[in-house]
Amino acid sequence: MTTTERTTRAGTERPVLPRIAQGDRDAVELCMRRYGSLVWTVARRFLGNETDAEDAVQDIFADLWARADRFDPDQAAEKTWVMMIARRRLIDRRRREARRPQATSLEFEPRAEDGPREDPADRDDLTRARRAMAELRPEQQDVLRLVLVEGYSHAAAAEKLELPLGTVKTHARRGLAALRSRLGVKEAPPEGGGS
Amino acid sequence: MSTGDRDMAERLWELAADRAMVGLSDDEGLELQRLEVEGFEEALDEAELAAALGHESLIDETELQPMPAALAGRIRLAAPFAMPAPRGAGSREADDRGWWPWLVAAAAVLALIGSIAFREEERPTPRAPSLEARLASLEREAADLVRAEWRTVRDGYPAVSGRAVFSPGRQDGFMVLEGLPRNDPGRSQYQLWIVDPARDREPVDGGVFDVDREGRVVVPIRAKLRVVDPRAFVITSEQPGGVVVSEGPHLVLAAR
Repeated sequence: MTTTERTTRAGTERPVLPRIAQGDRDAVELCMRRYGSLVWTVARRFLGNETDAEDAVQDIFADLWARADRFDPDQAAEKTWVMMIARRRLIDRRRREARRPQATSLEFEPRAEDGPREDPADRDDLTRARRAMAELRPEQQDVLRLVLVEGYSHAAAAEKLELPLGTVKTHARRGLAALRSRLGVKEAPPEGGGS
Repeated sequence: MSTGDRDMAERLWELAADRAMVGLSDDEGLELQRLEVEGFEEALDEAELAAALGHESLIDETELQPMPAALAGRIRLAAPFAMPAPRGAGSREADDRGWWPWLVAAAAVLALIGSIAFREEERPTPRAPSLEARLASLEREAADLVRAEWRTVRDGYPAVSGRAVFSPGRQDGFMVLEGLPRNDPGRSQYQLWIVDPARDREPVDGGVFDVDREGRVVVPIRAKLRVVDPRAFVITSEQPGGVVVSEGPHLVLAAR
């Protein structure tokens, strides 16, 4: 089975990024139809205004075209991979806007040599993530919702929730660790790590 | 694993998680680079994957909005410059390079008139169900639906009617409003507050919204935090973008 014949981890649609990686310009339209609304909606909500979101979405798609050859359907569903690229660009932009020192560039691509963690047909990471999110403690859900979806910094989330900054960081890290453990990768780190 | 190794592994996860969720400062980035611990790259990959999946899990697909047609046009125009050359392009690729300056110039001009040149109907984008359809679906299907009628509470303010509906189980809801005056988004925006004593003394920010026409409007509720047991919904008028804590006054109220 070739990459383009294989279904994604979502299990329903054939990935389009390998076609883009091969220079198939017709696939651009398909990719935009498939992920345009997602990326636009995510960016608008994360950044909070349409002007910044428009700039960010252009950057995200330019990144997708340029990195399409790095996509590995065994590592993540195509939609999840698109989200990973989108989140990187949005976080970069958010930090630039905040006029803080920009994060040191550490671009670690998913490593194809690791091979599949499981048969893509046998699992649905998003379903697991939804279930795991629902099982988190309410305060962890609140922090993750603000940080992941609304683009809040730890400090902004702490102010919003009227919680100490260290507590917010701990909720975010432990919540993400719990999600990670539900994805069958590793157990969450032991309790006790703080801010 | 020694205590030192365990501490390093915990610190690695903290930095990997922060990087995937909010990004790192310069100092934190340097600290991460200096960590010499087993599983370094795996932790970064796993944190990014978990953050992306966590983010996906919190998105309501029915709320996805199509990107503006002009923006889509600009992205299409720029795509050939960012993506690899088509396979088998060979010498034609070299020939094409001479056209790059012209193509770039053309792209810039077309981008300016993108809203005219690229109309949504020419490049159909799947549309989310209408707000009315989503409202009807929620009211029909949500067993835990909370419902309250709007009434004006500020003296002298126009009479507002309609209802607020919210499903704590789905974390989804809508406002149906009739009579709320149009606002100028450049000067002020309406903001919804959800009173939920089960979770906090302070009301939950239900999101800002605009009213751009007379008559009945349906507005989705976008609670910034999880709502447990909403007792009342309050609308205020705030500065564009909304506020973290409202000083009022309350304009309209829907209470159970």
